[in-house]
Amino acid sequence: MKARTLILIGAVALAIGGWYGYSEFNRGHADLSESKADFTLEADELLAAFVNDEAAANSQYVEKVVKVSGTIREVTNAGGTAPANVTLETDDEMAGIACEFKQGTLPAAWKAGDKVLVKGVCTGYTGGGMLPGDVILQRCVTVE
Amino acid sequence: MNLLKTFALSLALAPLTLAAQERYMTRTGHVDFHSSTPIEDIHADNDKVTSVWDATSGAIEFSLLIKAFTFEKALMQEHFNENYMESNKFPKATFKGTLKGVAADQLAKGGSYQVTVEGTINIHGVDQPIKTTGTITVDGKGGIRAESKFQVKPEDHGIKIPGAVRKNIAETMDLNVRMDYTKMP
Repeated sequence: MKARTLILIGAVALAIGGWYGYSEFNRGHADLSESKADFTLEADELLAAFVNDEAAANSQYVEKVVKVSGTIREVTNAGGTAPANVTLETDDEMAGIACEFKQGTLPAAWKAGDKVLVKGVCTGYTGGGMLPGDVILQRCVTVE
Repeated sequence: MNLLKTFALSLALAPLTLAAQERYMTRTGHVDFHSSTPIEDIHADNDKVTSVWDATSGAIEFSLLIKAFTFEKALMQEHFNENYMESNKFPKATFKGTLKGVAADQLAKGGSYQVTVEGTINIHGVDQPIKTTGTITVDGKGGIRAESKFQVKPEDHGIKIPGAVRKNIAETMDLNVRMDYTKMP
Protein backbone atom coordinates (compact mmCIF):
# COMPACT_ATOMS: atom_id res chain seq x y z
CA MET A 1 0.00 0.00 0.00
CA LYS A 2 2.67 2.45 1.11
CA ALA A 3 5.01 1.35 -1.68
CA ARG A 4 2.23 1.72 -4.21
CA THR A 5 1.51 5.30 -3.05
CA LEU A 6 5.19 6.13 -3.30
CA ILE A 7 5.42 4.74 -6.83
CA LEU A 8 2.33 6.71 -7.81
CA ILE A 9 3.76 9.97 -6.39
CA GLY A 10 7.05 9.23 -8.11
CA ALA A 11 5.33 8.62 -11.45
CA VAL A 12 3.31 11.82 -11.19
CA ALA A 13 6.42 13.83 -10.24
CA LEU A 14 8.30 12.33 -13.16
CA ALA A 15 5.48 13.15 -15.56
CA ILE A 16 5.26 16.74 -14.34
CA GLY A 17 9.05 17.11 -14.49
CA GLY A 18 9.15 15.60 -17.96
CA TRP A 19 6.34 17.79 -19.19
CA TYR A 20 7.99 20.88 -17.70
CA GLY A 21 11.37 20.01 -19.22
CA TYR A 22 9.86 19.30 -22.62
CA SER A 23 7.79 22.49 -22.74
CA GLU A 24 10.70 24.56 -21.42
CA PHE A 25 13.00 23.11 -24.11
CA ASN A 26 10.51 23.97 -26.84
CA ARG A 27 9.42 27.30 -25.42
CA GLY A 28 9.12 30.01 -28.07
CA HIS A 29 9.57 33.73 -27.56
CA ALA A 30 6.88 35.51 -25.56
CA ASP A 31 4.44 37.63 -27.59
CA LEU A 32 4.95 41.20 -26.45
CA SER A 33 1.39 42.35 -27.26
CA GLU A 34 0.33 41.48 -23.74
CA SER A 35 3.57 42.54 -22.03
CA LYS A 36 3.69 45.66 -19.95
CA ALA A 37 6.44 48.07 -21.06
CA ASP A 38 9.28 48.55 -18.57
CA PHE A 39 10.09 51.94 -20.11
CA THR A 40 8.17 54.40 -22.26
CA LEU A 41 10.17 57.07 -24.06
CA GLU A 42 10.77 58.97 -27.28
CA ALA A 43 13.13 57.81 -30.03
CA ASP A 44 15.57 60.67 -29.36
CA GLU A 45 15.73 59.97 -25.63
CA LEU A 46 16.51 56.30 -26.19
CA LEU A 47 19.29 57.01 -28.69
CA ALA A 48 20.76 59.71 -26.45
CA ALA A 49 20.94 57.27 -23.54
CA PHE A 50 23.12 54.89 -25.63
CA VAL A 51 25.27 57.59 -27.21
CA ASN A 52 25.99 59.30 -23.88
CA ASP A 53 26.81 56.19 -21.86
CA GLU A 54 26.49 52.90 -23.66
CA ALA A 55 27.37 50.73 -20.64
CA ALA A 56 24.78 52.43 -18.44
CA ALA A 57 22.14 52.24 -21.17
CA ASN A 58 22.94 48.55 -21.71
CA SER A 59 22.23 47.75 -18.08
CA GLN A 60 19.13 49.92 -18.00
CA TYR A 61 17.37 49.02 -21.27
CA VAL A 62 18.79 45.81 -22.75
CA GLU A 63 16.46 42.81 -22.45
CA LYS A 64 13.72 45.14 -21.24
CA VAL A 65 10.40 45.81 -22.98
CA VAL A 66 10.64 49.36 -24.27
CA LYS A 67 7.80 51.40 -25.75
CA VAL A 68 9.05 54.08 -28.14
CA SER A 69 7.22 56.88 -29.91
CA GLY A 70 8.66 58.45 -33.03
CA THR A 71 8.38 59.25 -36.71
CA ILE A 72 9.18 56.62 -39.33
CA ARG A 73 12.36 57.40 -41.30
CA GLU A 74 12.13 54.31 -43.49
CA VAL A 75 10.46 50.94 -43.82
CA THR A 76 12.69 48.23 -45.28
CA ASN A 77 12.18 44.63 -46.30
CA ALA A 78 8.43 44.78 -45.72
CA GLY A 79 7.85 41.78 -47.98
CA GLY A 80 11.12 39.87 -47.90
CA THR A 81 12.12 36.69 -46.14
CA ALA A 82 14.19 38.38 -43.42
CA PRO A 83 12.31 40.30 -40.72
CA ALA A 84 10.76 43.64 -41.69
CA ASN A 85 12.45 46.74 -40.35
CA VAL A 86 11.13 50.14 -39.37
CA THR A 87 13.65 52.84 -38.53
CA LEU A 88 12.50 55.76 -36.39
CA GLU A 89 13.89 59.27 -36.82
CA THR A 90 16.29 60.83 -34.34
CA ASP A 91 18.16 64.16 -34.30
CA ASP A 92 21.19 62.31 -35.68
CA GLU A 93 20.67 61.46 -39.35
CA MET A 94 23.27 58.67 -39.10
CA ALA A 95 21.54 56.95 -36.19
CA GLY A 96 18.01 55.77 -35.50
CA ILE A 97 15.88 53.28 -33.62
CA ALA A 98 15.68 50.10 -35.71
CA CYS A 99 12.54 48.12 -34.94
CA GLU A 100 12.45 44.51 -36.13
CA PHE A 101 9.02 43.05 -36.93
CA LYS A 102 8.23 39.44 -37.76
CA GLN A 103 7.15 39.23 -41.43
CA GLY A 104 3.42 39.76 -41.75
CA THR A 105 2.97 41.70 -38.51
CA LEU A 106 3.86 45.13 -39.82
CA PRO A 107 0.84 47.31 -40.74
CA ALA A 108 0.83 47.62 -44.54
CA ALA A 109 -0.06 51.32 -44.39
CA TRP A 110 3.05 52.35 -42.43
CA LYS A 111 5.28 54.69 -44.40
CA ALA A 112 8.00 57.27 -43.88
CA GLY A 113 6.73 60.33 -42.01
CA ASP A 114 4.05 58.50 -39.99
CA LYS A 115 4.03 59.00 -36.23
CA VAL A 116 3.98 55.61 -34.54
CA LEU A 117 4.22 53.85 -31.20
CA VAL A 118 6.22 50.61 -31.09
CA LYS A 119 6.92 48.14 -28.32
CA GLY A 120 9.88 45.77 -28.47
CA VAL A 121 12.74 44.16 -26.59
CA CYS A 122 15.84 46.34 -26.65
CA THR A 123 19.01 44.43 -27.56
CA GLY A 124 21.52 47.31 -27.60
CA TYR A 125 23.27 49.82 -29.86
CA THR A 126 25.21 48.64 -32.92
CA GLY A 127 27.33 51.75 -33.47
CA GLY A 128 30.78 52.46 -32.14
CA GLY A 129 34.19 53.58 -33.36
CA MET A 130 33.92 54.57 -37.02
CA LEU A 131 30.59 52.81 -37.48
CA PRO A 132 27.27 54.58 -37.38
CA GLY A 133 24.60 52.53 -35.67
CA ASP A 134 21.07 52.11 -34.42
CA VAL A 135 19.45 51.22 -31.14
CA ILE A 136 17.83 47.86 -31.84
CA LEU A 137 14.35 46.79 -30.77
CA GLN A 138 13.30 43.23 -31.62
CA ARG A 139 10.11 41.16 -31.58
CA CYS A 140 8.30 44.46 -32.10
CA VAL A 141 4.55 44.93 -31.96
CA THR A 142 2.46 47.97 -32.74
CA VAL A 143 0.76 49.84 -29.92
CA GLU A 144 -2.67 51.38 -30.48
CA MET B 1 60.20 74.64 -49.29
CA ASN B 2 59.48 70.93 -49.52
CA LEU B 3 56.78 71.27 -46.93
CA LEU B 4 55.21 74.08 -48.91
CA LYS B 5 55.28 71.97 -52.04
CA THR B 6 53.59 69.06 -50.30
CA PHE B 7 50.98 71.42 -48.93
CA ALA B 8 50.26 72.91 -52.36
CA LEU B 9 50.11 69.45 -53.92
CA SER B 10 47.69 68.13 -51.33
CA LEU B 11 45.49 71.19 -51.84
CA ALA B 12 45.48 70.59 -55.56
CA LEU B 13 44.64 66.92 -55.09
CA ALA B 14 42.01 67.43 -52.41
CA PRO B 15 39.00 67.61 -54.76
CA LEU B 16 40.20 64.44 -56.47
CA THR B 17 40.40 62.41 -53.24
CA LEU B 18 37.01 63.68 -52.14
CA ALA B 19 35.41 62.70 -55.41
CA ALA B 20 37.00 59.25 -55.19
CA GLN B 21 35.42 58.46 -51.82
CA GLU B 22 33.12 55.53 -52.55
CA ARG B 23 31.63 54.42 -49.29
CA TYR B 24 28.85 51.91 -48.87
CA MET B 25 26.91 50.91 -45.82
CA THR B 26 24.12 48.80 -44.40
CA ARG B 27 22.51 48.59 -40.99
CA THR B 28 20.27 45.65 -41.75
CA GLY B 29 22.95 43.20 -42.85
CA HIS B 30 22.46 39.49 -42.26
CA VAL B 31 24.73 37.04 -40.44
CA ASP B 32 23.64 33.56 -39.47
CA PHE B 33 25.45 30.66 -37.90
CA HIS B 34 24.76 26.99 -37.96
CA SER B 35 26.05 24.12 -35.90
CA SER B 36 25.20 20.64 -36.97
CA THR B 37 25.80 17.42 -35.03
CA PRO B 38 23.97 14.07 -35.05
CA ILE B 39 22.39 15.10 -31.71
CA GLU B 40 21.05 18.53 -32.61
CA ASP B 41 21.09 21.40 -35.08
CA ILE B 42 21.56 24.90 -33.80
CA HIS B 43 20.76 27.89 -35.96
CA ALA B 44 20.42 31.62 -35.30
CA ASP B 45 19.90 34.68 -37.47
CA ASN B 46 20.93 38.28 -36.99
CA ASP B 47 19.41 40.84 -39.38
CA LYS B 48 20.68 43.93 -37.62
CA VAL B 49 24.32 43.93 -38.68
CA THR B 50 25.89 47.29 -39.39
CA SER B 51 28.76 47.53 -41.88
CA VAL B 52 30.71 50.17 -43.76
CA TRP B 53 32.87 49.43 -46.78
CA ASP B 54 35.13 51.99 -48.38
CA ALA B 55 35.46 50.70 -51.93
CA THR B 56 38.31 53.12 -52.67
CA SER B 57 40.65 51.95 -49.93
CA GLY B 58 39.11 48.50 -49.46
CA ALA B 59 38.64 49.06 -45.72
CA ILE B 60 35.63 47.16 -44.38
CA GLU B 61 34.06 46.96 -40.92
CA PHE B 62 31.23 45.05 -39.30
CA SER B 63 29.55 45.27 -35.95
CA LEU B 64 26.71 43.20 -34.54
CA LEU B 65 24.99 42.64 -31.23
CA ILE B 66 25.24 39.12 -29.84
CA LYS B 67 21.81 39.55 -28.24
CA ALA B 68 20.32 40.33 -31.66
CA PHE B 69 20.83 36.69 -32.76
CA THR B 70 17.38 35.12 -32.90
CA PHE B 71 16.88 31.42 -32.22
CA GLU B 72 13.64 29.58 -32.75
CA LYS B 73 13.75 28.32 -29.17
CA ALA B 74 13.87 30.94 -26.43
CA LEU B 75 15.76 28.67 -24.02
CA MET B 76 18.52 28.07 -26.57
CA GLN B 77 18.85 31.83 -27.06
CA GLU B 78 19.12 32.35 -23.28
CA HIS B 79 21.79 29.66 -22.92
CA PHE B 80 23.72 31.05 -25.90
CA ASN B 81 23.82 34.52 -24.33
CA GLU B 82 24.34 33.57 -20.69
CA ASN B 83 26.46 30.42 -20.72
CA TYR B 84 28.52 30.68 -23.89
CA MET B 85 28.79 34.20 -25.28
CA GLU B 86 28.50 36.04 -21.93
CA SER B 87 26.83 38.80 -23.89
CA ASN B 88 26.38 41.08 -20.88
CA LYS B 89 30.17 41.27 -20.68
CA PHE B 90 30.84 41.10 -24.44
CA PRO B 91 27.76 42.62 -26.14
CA LYS B 92 29.25 42.95 -29.64
CA ALA B 93 31.18 40.99 -32.22
CA THR B 94 33.20 43.04 -34.69
CA PHE B 95 35.34 42.64 -37.79
CA LYS B 96 37.84 45.09 -39.20
CA GLY B 97 39.83 44.40 -42.33
CA THR B 98 40.38 44.86 -46.03
CA LEU B 99 38.45 43.65 -49.04
CA LYS B 100 40.38 43.02 -52.27
CA GLY B 101 39.32 41.96 -55.74
CA VAL B 102 37.02 44.73 -56.92
CA ALA B 103 37.81 48.34 -57.78
CA ALA B 104 35.50 51.23 -56.95
CA ASP B 105 34.93 52.09 -60.62
CA GLN B 106 33.72 48.55 -61.38
CA LEU B 107 30.75 49.06 -59.06
CA ALA B 108 29.03 51.41 -61.50
CA LYS B 109 28.12 48.57 -63.86
CA GLY B 110 26.60 45.16 -63.26
CA GLY B 111 28.72 42.11 -62.58
CA SER B 112 29.91 39.56 -60.10
CA TYR B 113 33.35 39.67 -58.51
CA GLN B 114 35.28 37.13 -56.47
CA VAL B 115 36.91 38.91 -53.56
CA THR B 116 39.11 38.13 -50.58
CA VAL B 117 38.60 39.58 -47.14
CA GLU B 118 41.31 39.64 -44.54
CA GLY B 119 41.36 41.15 -41.08
CA THR B 120 40.62 40.66 -37.41
CA ILE B 121 37.44 39.23 -36.00
CA ASN B 122 36.54 39.86 -32.38
CA ILE B 123 34.10 37.49 -30.72
CA HIS B 124 33.65 37.09 -26.94
CA GLY B 125 36.32 39.76 -26.47
CA VAL B 126 39.00 37.68 -28.23
CA ASP B 127 40.70 38.84 -31.47
CA GLN B 128 41.60 36.31 -34.16
CA PRO B 129 43.07 36.92 -37.61
CA ILE B 130 40.81 35.68 -40.39
CA LYS B 131 41.03 35.34 -44.15
CA THR B 132 38.14 34.29 -46.33
CA THR B 133 36.66 34.66 -49.80
CA GLY B 134 33.39 36.15 -50.93
CA THR B 135 31.36 37.48 -53.80
CA ILE B 136 30.29 41.00 -54.63
CA THR B 137 27.30 41.18 -56.94
CA VAL B 138 26.40 44.47 -58.58
CA ASP B 139 22.98 44.71 -60.21
CA GLY B 140 23.75 47.98 -62.01
CA LYS B 141 20.83 49.77 -60.34
CA GLY B 142 22.76 50.77 -57.26
CA GLY B 143 22.24 47.46 -55.46
CA ILE B 144 25.43 45.85 -54.19
CA ARG B 145 25.34 42.53 -52.41
CA ALA B 146 28.34 41.08 -50.58
CA GLU B 147 28.27 37.44 -49.53
CA SER B 148 30.70 35.21 -47.73
CA LYS B 149 30.82 31.92 -45.89
CA PHE B 150 33.44 30.99 -43.34
CA GLN B 151 33.96 29.01 -40.19
CA VAL B 152 34.69 29.97 -36.61
CA LYS B 153 35.81 27.71 -33.76
CA PRO B 154 34.25 28.70 -30.40
CA GLU B 155 37.38 27.57 -28.55
CA ASP B 156 39.54 30.01 -30.57
CA HIS B 157 37.60 32.82 -28.93
CA GLY B 158 37.78 31.52 -25.38
CA ILE B 159 34.22 30.21 -25.42
CA LYS B 160 34.04 27.26 -23.04
CA ILE B 161 31.72 24.40 -23.88
CA PRO B 162 31.08 22.01 -20.99
CA GLY B 163 31.94 18.33 -21.63
CA ALA B 164 28.33 17.27 -21.05
CA VAL B 165 27.10 19.13 -24.14
CA ARG B 166 30.30 19.03 -26.22
CA LYS B 167 28.78 16.45 -28.56
CA ASN B 168 25.68 18.65 -29.10
CA ILE B 169 27.72 21.55 -30.47
CA ALA B 170 29.87 21.37 -33.59
CA GLU B 171 33.64 21.99 -33.35
CA THR B 172 33.28 24.68 -35.99
CA MET B 173 30.36 27.00 -36.61
CA ASP B 174 29.37 27.74 -40.22
CA LEU B 175 28.79 31.43 -40.71
CA ASN B 176 26.94 33.08 -43.58
CA VAL B 177 27.26 36.77 -44.26
CA ARG B 178 24.99 38.70 -46.63
CA MET B 179 25.14 42.50 -46.87
CA ASP B 180 22.99 44.62 -49.16
CA TYR B 181 24.98 47.83 -49.33
CA THR B 182 23.75 51.24 -50.36
CA LYS B 183 26.01 54.14 -51.25
CA MET B 184 26.69 56.65 -48.52
CA PRO B 185 25.94 60.26 -49.37
